[in-house]
Amino acid sequence: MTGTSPEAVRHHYDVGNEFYALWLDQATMSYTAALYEDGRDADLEHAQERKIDYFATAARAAGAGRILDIGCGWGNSIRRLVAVHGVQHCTGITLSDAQAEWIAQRPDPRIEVHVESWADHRPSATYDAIFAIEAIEHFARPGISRAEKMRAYRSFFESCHSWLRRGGTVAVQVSVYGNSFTGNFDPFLSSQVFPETEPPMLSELVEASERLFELISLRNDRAHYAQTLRAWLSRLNARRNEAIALVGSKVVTRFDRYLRLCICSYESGASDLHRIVFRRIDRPVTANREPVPHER
Amino acid sequence: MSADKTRQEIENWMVAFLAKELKLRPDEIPLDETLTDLGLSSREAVFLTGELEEFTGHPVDPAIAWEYPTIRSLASHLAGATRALG
Repeated sequence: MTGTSPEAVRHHYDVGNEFYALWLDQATMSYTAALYEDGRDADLEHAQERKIDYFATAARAAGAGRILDIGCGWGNSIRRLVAVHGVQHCTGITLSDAQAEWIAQRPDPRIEVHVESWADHRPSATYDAIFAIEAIEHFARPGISRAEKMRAYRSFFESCHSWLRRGGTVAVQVSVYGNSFTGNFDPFLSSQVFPETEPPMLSELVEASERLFELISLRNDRAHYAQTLRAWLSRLNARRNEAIALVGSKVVTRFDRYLRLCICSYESGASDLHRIVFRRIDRPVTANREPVPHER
Repeated sequence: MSADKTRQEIENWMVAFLAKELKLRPDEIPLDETLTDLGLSSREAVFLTGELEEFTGHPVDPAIAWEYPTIRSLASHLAGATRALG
């Protein structure tokens, strides 16, 4: 297995919905970097909604018929896409049972959720857009060769290519190694917080998408991640006693330390946070075929 | 909320904490040595900020030890900050 195992994913995300609800934003319960406008005092709730809205626009997903959300978390993106952006149907997939149960508590005919890996997903029809908001970090595990890692990323883009309609888009938010080397993922984070997780380098994702997708936009928002993490840390510590009652002081300390380490990592640039939109290349060139310049 | 900690209390707490972490005797820990020179890794320095937040009852920035790298400077800053916030 190349990516994070379902057990390892559950280790982190199944700590308990009530625990995460204490310190994630109330509006969307997003567990990914928010998008702040200028000014550091913007509130987390709006910044999380703005992130979803940004991708809806950048990936031309507004009014779309069908969208797939890989690693859908607690369903914040798919709910907002159907409620605010006029998307007709969203499919979310997650490896976390707790997240799927959470979403099922508020049924909506326009959304469906499956507990499965993206690699096992078999769509019933093509999608207009695919979202992968901080999911790719789990596609590789530490210790695998670069070739294996690249095969996993390539396979992801090949799957997306086959699942999308002509001209469809992939919206990616991903934490990557910045001013650091592959394997520099902090040992505390990789052993106790995100087991079996190896972030990509930006270059690996770009290479893995070549001749399948064209990159149409990219922004590095690492400062936004630091600000998001600061908001989470401050909320967690404001409700520390409730958190300890739910999950115990050892787990709370683990989360306190992980949030602090990540703040330093994004502020120093050891980690970057990229928001990327890819557009499907409908006639990918193949090795034995010369490209025709005027072909579209 | 307990009473705000004084500089002395924070220093004492840090010395006891570092003695335990670094397996040193408290009298082996000079207040003006940088935490790095005392043998604390940058990761442990970040963890320390969480412990300090719990001890002081006030927010402690995760990267504070880069700006105030010694026990004395950090304790003095935190005592001032808690008074200002208190």
